[in-house]
Amino acid sequence: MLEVREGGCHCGRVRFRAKVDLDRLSECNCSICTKKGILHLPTDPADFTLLKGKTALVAYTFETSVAQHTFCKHCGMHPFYIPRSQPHRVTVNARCLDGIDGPSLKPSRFFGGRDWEAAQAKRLADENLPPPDPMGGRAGALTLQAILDRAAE
Amino acid sequence: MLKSYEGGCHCGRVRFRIAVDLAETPIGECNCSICTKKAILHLPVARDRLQILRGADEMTTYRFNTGTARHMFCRHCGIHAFYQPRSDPENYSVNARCLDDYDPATMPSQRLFDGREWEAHFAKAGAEWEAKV
Repeated sequence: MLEVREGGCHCGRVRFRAKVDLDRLSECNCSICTKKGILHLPTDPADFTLLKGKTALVAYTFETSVAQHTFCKHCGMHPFYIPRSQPHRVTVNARCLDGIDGPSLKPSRFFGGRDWEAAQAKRLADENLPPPDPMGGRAGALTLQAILDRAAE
Repeated sequence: MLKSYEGGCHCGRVRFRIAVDLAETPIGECNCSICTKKAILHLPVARDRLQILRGADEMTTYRFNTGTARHMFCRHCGIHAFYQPRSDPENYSVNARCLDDYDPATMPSQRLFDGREWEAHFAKAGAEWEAKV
């Protein structure tokens, strides 16, 4: 069920509001999602507002540098990021929503990111979607920049 | 039996080696405010059984509330490979997700620390431990 929720990092410097659907919670077994333990809730940038934290966030990138793995530089939490698989969208970390019980969260979807190319091909086929335009590899960075630009603080 | 494992953050700047008996050391999770967000799978390791191979200077330490726990993370990639918990601040809790050999199928969480009710749970866990030794 789509609902508007708020969330943030632990120290409170990063806060967001987003329209998310907890029934479509997913997890991924790639190298970084495994270490982050993130539970994914993809949303459209139009349905995501960074309420505050643009100076607290830093972005970590690796390999293709399309994904923007943002985290709060003060407490190290990863409340949202821009994924390589959908670089024009935002993925909220369900663990960082207010009022969430982490151990009870059960993902219903899975992305086999350890074999990323195959997982992406399967996802696009399952959802009947065209491949996203990587915009010369800058799509993720541009999505993140637009979110930061819209944030008041 | 004690066995050696290595692990680290994602960018590779922080690396550690531990000696642990996984059969005798169940992996646990906690529902407190920060463990929920960090998604950490706790593997308790004694201080002298964790060696920081590199990256001690690459970490930021975050503290809150009582300030006892030291939540360290790599300041470059934001990954929390290990930390010093409030429940046992002289020792470490390694994040099992950061072991090179981490396998969710064979390393599931086997116990829950009710960190939302930290004082009550700590008193209960401590009493159970005292009864065992």
